[in-house]
Amino acid sequence: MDDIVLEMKHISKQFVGVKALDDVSLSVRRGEVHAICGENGAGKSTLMKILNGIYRADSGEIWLNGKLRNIQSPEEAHKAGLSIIFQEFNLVDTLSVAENIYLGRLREKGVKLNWRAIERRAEEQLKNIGAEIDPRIAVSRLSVSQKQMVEIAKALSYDANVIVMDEPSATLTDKEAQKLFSVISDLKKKQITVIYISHKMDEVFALSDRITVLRDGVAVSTAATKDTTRREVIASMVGRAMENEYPVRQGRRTDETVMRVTHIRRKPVLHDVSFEVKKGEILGIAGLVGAGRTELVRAVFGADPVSEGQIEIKGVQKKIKSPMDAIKNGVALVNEDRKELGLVLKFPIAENISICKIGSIVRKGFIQRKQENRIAEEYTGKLAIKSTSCRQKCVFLSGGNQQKVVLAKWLYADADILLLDEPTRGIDVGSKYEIYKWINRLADAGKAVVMISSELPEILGLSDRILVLHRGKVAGEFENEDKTATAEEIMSCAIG
Amino acid sequence: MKICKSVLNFFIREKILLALLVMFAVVSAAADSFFTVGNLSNLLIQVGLYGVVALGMTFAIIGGDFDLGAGPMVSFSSMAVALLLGRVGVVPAILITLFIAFCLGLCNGLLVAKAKINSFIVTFGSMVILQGMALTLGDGSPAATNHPAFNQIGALQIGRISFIFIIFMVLLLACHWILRYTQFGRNIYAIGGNYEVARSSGIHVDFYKASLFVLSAVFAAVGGILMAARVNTGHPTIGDDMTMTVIAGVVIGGTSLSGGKGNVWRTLLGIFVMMFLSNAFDALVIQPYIQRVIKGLIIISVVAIDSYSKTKIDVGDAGVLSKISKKL
Repeated sequence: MDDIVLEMKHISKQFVGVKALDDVSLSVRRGEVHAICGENGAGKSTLMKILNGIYRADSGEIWLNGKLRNIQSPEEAHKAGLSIIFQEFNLVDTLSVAENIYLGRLREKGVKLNWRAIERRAEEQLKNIGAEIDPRIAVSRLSVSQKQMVEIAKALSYDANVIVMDEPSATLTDKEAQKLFSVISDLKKKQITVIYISHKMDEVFALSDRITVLRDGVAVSTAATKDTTRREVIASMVGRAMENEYPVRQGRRTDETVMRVTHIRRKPVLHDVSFEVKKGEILGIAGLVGAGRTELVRAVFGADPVSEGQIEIKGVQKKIKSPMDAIKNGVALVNEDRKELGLVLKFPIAENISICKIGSIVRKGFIQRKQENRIAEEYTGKLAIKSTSCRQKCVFLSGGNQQKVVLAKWLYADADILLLDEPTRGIDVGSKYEIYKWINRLADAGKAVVMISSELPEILGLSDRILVLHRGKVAGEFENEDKTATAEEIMSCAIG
Repeated sequence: MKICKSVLNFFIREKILLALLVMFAVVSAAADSFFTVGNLSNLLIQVGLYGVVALGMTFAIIGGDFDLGAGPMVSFSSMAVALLLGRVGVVPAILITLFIAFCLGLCNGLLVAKAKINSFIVTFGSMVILQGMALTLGDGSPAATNHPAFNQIGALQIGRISFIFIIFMVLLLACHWILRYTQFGRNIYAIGGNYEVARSSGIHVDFYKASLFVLSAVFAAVGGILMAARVNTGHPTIGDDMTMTVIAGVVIGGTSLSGGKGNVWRTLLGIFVMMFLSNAFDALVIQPYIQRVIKGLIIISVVAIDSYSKTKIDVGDAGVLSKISKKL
């Protein structure tokens, strides 16, 4: 049993002034699923990037498949038998599945490529993991889950016996995640080792054999999954005991309707959706991926054109044709993809916060940078955004802190209606709790909150009312002011 | 020691400036004709002429686009102003030329922002059109600017510094101010940094996108007018080679082609490097044909060193200079 396939010994890594990893040791057994947990910024990605040769460790050794390795690039990692599947897939959308799997290795002999052989081999790889995907179609036509299968097939095609998965289920629906889990247990049967990085405790406990927790660049604990508890793991991740996963709200919703959306249509994703949200209410929107949740809030925000439908804000009919109109009417959208859609990463924190309401800090044509900094400092303080200064560029912040900057931006814009699309995706447990508290606080302050989430517990734990979408239509509505709705009824409604 | 360290750190960050200073010193020592008042004031004129065009291009590049028509706009406006001078007088001629440039830039801008046509195609198309228009104006031949007051703009010197360079510096300060301290400037960085975020933050993205091309066209026209005043002629192809030099200058200075980053001081540095190279080769009496080869090689290597050291810093590896700086 103690057949160690990968051993990292005393790994340390320092970035300009910051210790990212401090004497981390990790040993992984052959054929086990080894979970690595830790908050964002705990050093998980740095550790994996060192394994993959993207970063070089300042000190320490890596033993892989019985040999001391000096991995300097992902290619060398592949040769040593290790493959990493990152959260952002490394696939070329315009190329076919087969081309992607054998990218860089298409040529066997001669000048002419043997497409038939490449496609046959790709098909075999996919069949091996039980994925029914035509290797000839372009990757852009695949779903997120299928892309992931392609990534796994690609990893296996390198004859890797250690596969690292970074947050693999973050963008999957429950059903797709189940599929992934069965692939992982198949891999395990084939004596392939999986290192599984995830924030989701349910998965970690269902899948893994052992769990290592990283905190602030230090490996704080490694334990067999059956000998530890969820609470223990969370406690060692955040360095303190967590009382509840969801904070309890102080105030209650009012009866005053702030926004009423009627008969909104946008073919082919939205078919006649109507809903309203009240002052001080948290409306949760549940549904499977592809049910039209994101499309709905984008349509309400004016980011996508709609073919039909009315939006009434505080009893007055409004024409919202662009985000500019929406913001003027006090509507804000926190996107699910904060890197692409939420923040200008090249901008410092302060400039991201003031972006929507920059007019308010202009005096006689000048942007008052001092005032801008003061505002930024106020919000970084309020939201406990960890940064070196408010002029630090957002690209250097962790996911949780980036999300807090997005929140700060909309708080400063002083919107009355907040549309939150997956506000805690990819965020660590500690920051999640803080974001939950803020969502409650905003509702208490009289804002109307519409929150989309793929994590049902989050919807159940926070919302006053739950709207379930199915194939672009409202499939059901559940009262949840006293947190009485159950996951089963929501799920069965969402499946349709 | 502390000053030493901060000076060294400054040069670690600003490698291009360091490279320029080194090359400047070497050429000054090697060629007697280089470090003379006459030659240096000539260099400043070149910097001024190209620099003005580069200012407009800087806006376009920070906003995430570029304008291939800038060079031909210089040719066109030099012709336009030369032909208008005799008919309407100096000030109206300049204003009309600028107004035409404004309108043409607005056409480009609307095609890109509203009709969503790729800016490469739009500005390439207008580049060809402008070349044609410049040639048509004078039927292919240059037009003399027979107007003493106008020619005075190009000849005037304050001390030994050309009026052209002074105009450039004034415009540069204005652009610096706009980019750093105004809402207009900030929003240009925002659309270049992330267009979708800018849009969903309520910024009127179409307006800003269109303004990029208006600014580029108007600054190029200013360049064309100054060019005409300098050589006392409107010439239908005089600016055609400028586009690439100007884009290269902006990028060498360190303004990112992917948008959202950079400033006009970097443009000044980049244009200075480009103009210095041409001038230095002449001073060193290097054969003009081989000049181009060497110039190209120097440009690529300077930028290569800069971006190589930047990736090193990102990965956490220190370069030689930063190692020295750590020891201080």
